[in-house]
Amino acid sequence: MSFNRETGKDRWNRVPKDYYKHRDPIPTWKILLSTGALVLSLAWLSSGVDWARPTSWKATDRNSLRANHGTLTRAHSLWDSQCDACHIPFEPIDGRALFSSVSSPSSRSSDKLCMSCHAGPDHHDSTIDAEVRSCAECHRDHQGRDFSLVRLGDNECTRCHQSLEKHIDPKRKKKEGREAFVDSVTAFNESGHPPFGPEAAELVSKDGESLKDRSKLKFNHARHMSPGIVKNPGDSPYTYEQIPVNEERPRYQKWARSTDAVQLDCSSCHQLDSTEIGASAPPTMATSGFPSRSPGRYYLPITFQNECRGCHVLSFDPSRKNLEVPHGVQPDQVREFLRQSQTAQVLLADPAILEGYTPTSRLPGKSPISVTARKRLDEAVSREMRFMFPDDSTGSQHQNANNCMECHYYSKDRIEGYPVRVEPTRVPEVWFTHASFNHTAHRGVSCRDCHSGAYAMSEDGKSLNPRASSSNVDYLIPGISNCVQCHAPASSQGWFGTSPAPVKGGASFDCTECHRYHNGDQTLQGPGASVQNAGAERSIRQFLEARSGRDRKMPGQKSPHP
Amino acid sequence: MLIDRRNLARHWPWLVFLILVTIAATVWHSLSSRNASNWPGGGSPSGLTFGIVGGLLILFEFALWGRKKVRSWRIGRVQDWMIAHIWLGLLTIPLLLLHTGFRWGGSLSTVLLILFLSVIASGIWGLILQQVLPTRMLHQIPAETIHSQIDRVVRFMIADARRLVSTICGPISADFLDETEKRAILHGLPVSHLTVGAVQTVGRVQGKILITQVPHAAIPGSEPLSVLYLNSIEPYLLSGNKSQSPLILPNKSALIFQELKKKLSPETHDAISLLENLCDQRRQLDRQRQLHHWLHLWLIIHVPLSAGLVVLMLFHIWIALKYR
Repeated sequence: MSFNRETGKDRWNRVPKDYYKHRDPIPTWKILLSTGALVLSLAWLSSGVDWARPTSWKATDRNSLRANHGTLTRAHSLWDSQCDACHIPFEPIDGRALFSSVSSPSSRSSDKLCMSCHAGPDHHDSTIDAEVRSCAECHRDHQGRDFSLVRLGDNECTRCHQSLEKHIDPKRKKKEGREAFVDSVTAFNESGHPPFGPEAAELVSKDGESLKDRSKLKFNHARHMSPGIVKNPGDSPYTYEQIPVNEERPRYQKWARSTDAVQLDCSSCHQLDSTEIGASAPPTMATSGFPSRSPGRYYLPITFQNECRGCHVLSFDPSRKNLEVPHGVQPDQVREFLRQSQTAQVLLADPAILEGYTPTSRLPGKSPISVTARKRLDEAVSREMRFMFPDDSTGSQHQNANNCMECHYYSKDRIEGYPVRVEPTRVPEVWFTHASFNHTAHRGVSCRDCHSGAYAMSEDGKSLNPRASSSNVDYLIPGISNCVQCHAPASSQGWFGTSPAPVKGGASFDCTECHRYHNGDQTLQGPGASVQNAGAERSIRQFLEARSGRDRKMPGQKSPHP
Repeated sequence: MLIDRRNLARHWPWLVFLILVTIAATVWHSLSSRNASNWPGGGSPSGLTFGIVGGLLILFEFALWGRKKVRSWRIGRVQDWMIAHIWLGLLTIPLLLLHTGFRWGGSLSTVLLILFLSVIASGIWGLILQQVLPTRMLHQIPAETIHSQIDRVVRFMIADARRLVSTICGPISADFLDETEKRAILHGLPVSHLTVGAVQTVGRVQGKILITQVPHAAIPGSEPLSVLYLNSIEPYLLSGNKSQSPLILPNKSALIFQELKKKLSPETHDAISLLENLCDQRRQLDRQRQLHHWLHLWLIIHVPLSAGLVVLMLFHIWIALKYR
């Protein structure tokens, strides 16, 4: 009966030898799904192609372009679907890209596409060409709609500016005096950034804090901000009713009484260029030339007519207060004005002169007009010229604030006792021409915190300000130490707020906060504005399709990277 | 692949390599991004290098599929490929994340990155499962068989059970067996010996054994056994967890068989124990199927996503070269 007994071999045979040939469901699903994934991937890719123009992506699919490495910045969003608008196929747009030559002509081709809209000035004449290889080297798009192409990282600037000598072509380097750039700038702090050095200031010492205002205007902020604008202690204060130009009085007086001492503040003279001019400007202010959509970054230039005339009216004859010497002219022109004015006065005073006998030909030793009248005229002009141009060297200090010397310097040369020339003022409209500053962005901070020297009194209004400027050559613009209170890395009060150190910094402090490589923050203003126009002129259709247009050559325009 | 003490020595060099390359890449990328407003992107020297290396590694990773399929390839042992697959796959994480500059980019880059992260996540999940489940199966499923043959083995278990019950309670139909199975099992009935596969544990050792019994004449009064068999045991053996049988639960099963033994004469107890053992094997096979799915189902995600990743990556490379 042993043949009936099931052996181990019998049981082993229960599993067929070719069991592995019968597919398990899991591998089958694996193959099916893998095939599906391949098909799905290809279908997804091809669904993005505009088959009418196979080299382009569907224009209707802008935000989900298959090939797009990232959304373009808002300014370029028109060309989301047109890669060829900026790219030359199979040529690197970034001249610094791996495997691209140092001065790749292809990158220049892409640059031409950029410059057809964004022409711009050279950053610096002496820059070595190979150091700036392409636009895309610094301006990298495809990083989102809100990404700024001009807010570059500090490394883009410091790679040259931390050792500038190595990156400047010595053949083209110019001796630029005080404008020469510091060789090493590494960061915005007192050790990594040179002291501010505006052209209108004279550098006295290297610490940057002892600058001298060389704008050639005798104006002392602190004195004008003192109550009553007193020159010497004990002098009687200047009151609102003493302001000679009646229509200017309300602008300074505001809600004060007429007999109160004049108290000026910053806004008495300084108005942002974004001020709602029609509503708040003084009635005598000339507003016709102001731009209507200024950003409010800077204050309007101070002019005699707008800000000084109210008190410093250039009248020279108490009997004719409405008659004023024109401002902005040289002494010989003043003299001519006074002569004409006095001639008219002499004639009005003695009309008989006009009725007297006047020979048709000049008699030897005789004047065409009467000698008496001539003498009176010369004396009057001389007197008024002395009034306008007092001789400071004689110590005859003028007692009025309405002469030229009150604010201006003269040349040393004098003819007939009067200066030949009034030194022109050099108050810049923008002090820092190589940087930008936005006063409106800083409107939350008191003026005093940056310009403390302009205030005669301390913040309490009772004691004198120890830092008040004492001279018109005092430089009142703050240095880096003031900026880095906010524009520096944030420092907190320790992990749990236990440190007594105050919170400092936190506002951005990168290079582009103040500087622009191509002065691009105000495209058609400032240095290089004349060459910033678009390099090509296109129709709207050409613009939308990123097609080239007609070359536009502006006077003096050249390639930013020749 | 199981990573344990026995083969740890083969993994150490890879782990050290992974850490060193990651540190070197991070340092290079960080230096490139010093004072920059953003991390360097895929087009920067460091980013492009990481992209190229990462792309080549992904192609290598995908080549494992070919190495496994074409067994005649003798380019290294599959085990070595597997070790390289694991560690180089992990190396792609830092390299490709640095390549992205920690930005999602456009839709292609975003989909690509999501696919990549999904492939990596599924791979890591699979690796973790492979560390846990085989050991668990070894300990919990001594009755383990070839996964694809579970249904067939179950049918043999039922045949064993029927023969056992038939010898005690009288003949039971064997209609459910196909002809081959009938020939294999029921050949020469009545049999001189009953052979039933069982699982036995001795101390810490457990395994499958064959228990052979000499059949005897039908035992009077054993009808409750045939009733229980036809109503509960066989449906459970046939359908396993899908049945509504109380035998699914080990405790209830033990109780049921204990009650049965109380009702029947002691001569039937051995056969009842064998039936109980068969039910236990059925439970183990259900558990094996469950664990087998966990052990292999991740591949249904990992492999198709990898295929999609490679297609989109090739397209990404082409676009990057064209519009770099």
